[in-house]
Amino acid sequence: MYGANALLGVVNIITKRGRDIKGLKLAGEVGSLDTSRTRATYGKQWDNGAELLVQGSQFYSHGNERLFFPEFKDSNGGIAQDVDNERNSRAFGKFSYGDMTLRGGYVDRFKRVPTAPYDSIFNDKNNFLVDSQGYVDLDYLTEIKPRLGLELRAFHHWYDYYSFSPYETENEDGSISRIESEEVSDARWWGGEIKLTGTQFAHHKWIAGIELQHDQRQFFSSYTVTLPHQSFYSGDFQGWRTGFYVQDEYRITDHLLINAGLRLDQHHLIKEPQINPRIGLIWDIAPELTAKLLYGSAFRAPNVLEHNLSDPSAKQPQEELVKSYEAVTEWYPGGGLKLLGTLFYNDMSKILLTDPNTDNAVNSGKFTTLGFELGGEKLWDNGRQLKLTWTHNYTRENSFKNNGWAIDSPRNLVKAHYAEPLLHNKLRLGFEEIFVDERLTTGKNIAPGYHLLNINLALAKPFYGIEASLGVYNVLDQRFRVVTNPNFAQDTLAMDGRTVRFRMEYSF
Amino acid sequence: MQKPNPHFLLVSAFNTILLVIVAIFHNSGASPPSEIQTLTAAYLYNFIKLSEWPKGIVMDKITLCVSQDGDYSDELQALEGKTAHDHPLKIKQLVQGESAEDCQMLFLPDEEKPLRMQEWLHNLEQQPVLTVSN
Repeated sequence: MYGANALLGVVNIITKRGRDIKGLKLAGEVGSLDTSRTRATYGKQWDNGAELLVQGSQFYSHGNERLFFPEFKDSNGGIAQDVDNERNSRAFGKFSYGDMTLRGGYVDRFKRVPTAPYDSIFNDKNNFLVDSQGYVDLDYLTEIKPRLGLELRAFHHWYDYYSFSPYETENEDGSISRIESEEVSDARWWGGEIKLTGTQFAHHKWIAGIELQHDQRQFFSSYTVTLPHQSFYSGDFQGWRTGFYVQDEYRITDHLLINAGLRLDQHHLIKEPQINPRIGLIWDIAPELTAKLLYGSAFRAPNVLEHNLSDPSAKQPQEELVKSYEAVTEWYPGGGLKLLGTLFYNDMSKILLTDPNTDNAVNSGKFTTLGFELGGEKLWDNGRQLKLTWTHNYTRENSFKNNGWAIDSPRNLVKAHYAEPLLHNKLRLGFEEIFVDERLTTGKNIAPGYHLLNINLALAKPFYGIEASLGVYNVLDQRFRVVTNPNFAQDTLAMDGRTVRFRMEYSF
Repeated sequence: MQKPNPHFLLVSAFNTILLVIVAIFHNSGASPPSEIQTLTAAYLYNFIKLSEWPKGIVMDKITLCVSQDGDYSDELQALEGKTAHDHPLKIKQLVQGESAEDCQMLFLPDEEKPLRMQEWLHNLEQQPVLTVSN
């Protein structure tokens, strides 16, 4: 059971193991926009069961040489020249022995900013950000007695951010000066978790746990580096978060299962303790037909930047809340076909908004979403695969500036995926089509709907140790637009057109 | 997380003969779940090597089916292409409601819902398909 910030969903990442790699693998990728990626992976499993996986990779993309923004047509004709590049380096390692697993990861990134947000100078190479994040996680998973499992976890994470932005300011005599500002942040947090899992009672599977986290440092500051020095804002927070949770999955009959849980959280950035229940009723009507009714609630604590730093006397922002209701039907009509229908309603309240009168953050937004999702999936004997999903929803926003259809909320989303094995399953050809319906922008305009078609051709199995794939993305070369927020001069931003990527990997 | 119980129950339905084998191996100390999955795959492979099917059932390949891909996906996929009784092994994931008649062995992991477990066993009652669960 998740604590703060698991609002509408969580992403579960399962990493590969040493035994999945067995030796050294070198991979290289080249693509449009002068993009390249290199990666080395080494994996090994020893006779005593110990396993090691280490991986390092580097990415570089020059990006678009010229980007046109009509909003800046008075500056270089609206052309941002050679300011779209990005590079990043990543390292990941995992070592497991017996019941212990040690994981660590690190990523650092440089990105030049071509969009000139926050009224910064357009088409300036000195508009960039650098950030890095790392973590170490130690996990111990054991069975302390039959049908009673214990998991102990300890972790340490850190995140550093630095950005540099140039601005123009008008002096008293009417002349224009260039000022340069930096924004830095530095966060460190560590903690642990104890989790018990029991199946000793017939038809019950229970989980109970305690999570503790110390936000040791949450520092940030923004200031000018040109004279006269000026500080815009800064803050340094620290504190504890604690969570306690219990959950039980009770199989009442062969047809009926109930899953109920409760989580209690205390967070240093908000005043009130948070109590969040979750309940699910799963009814297996027939072997091929299942119905589910699900309810859950969650909260998000405001981050330090959302605090009213310039006005300490103002009421400080508190938690945002979500309640979600879902009714799901799964049907397996036979022949390898799976059909899914979901009706959902999300009620988000106390959402943080900026009060236009005071510029302070206040918990007064409300968003509700009512919708349904229909999905189908079929896997053929020869490996052919088809997946279709259509989501329709209406999200209503109640905020200072908008009461009605929510900003950046497409009413329809369609995703289709089709994969076909070729040449006796030596090659695999995949098509992916994504449709995103029109959206309302911050400036109350309509961003048109778009289709995104991607095609991928890959070797289904390594050929003399070589794996290869060729991908064409946005095949229809649609210059689709995404909606921005009020910090941008642009109401929407055009995304990349058609791009191509070729990837090869060799196993030693 | 609950670990799979490493006690196997084999139920084979060779026409009307019901064969029950219980294979027990000791869980010496705690093993991470992935090791249990590797052992499970190894046991399934050995069960195939030690089993005999009625004549005419095994043609050009032996198909090991699994009703839920989930946790056992990588371990079972590693068996694909291995040989038993001079035939290559094929791994096939079945979706509920799909026919298992082409399978020589069907593995039903213990995460399978009781109702579905009963349905698989009922459908294969008169079929020469060896069903295994853990």
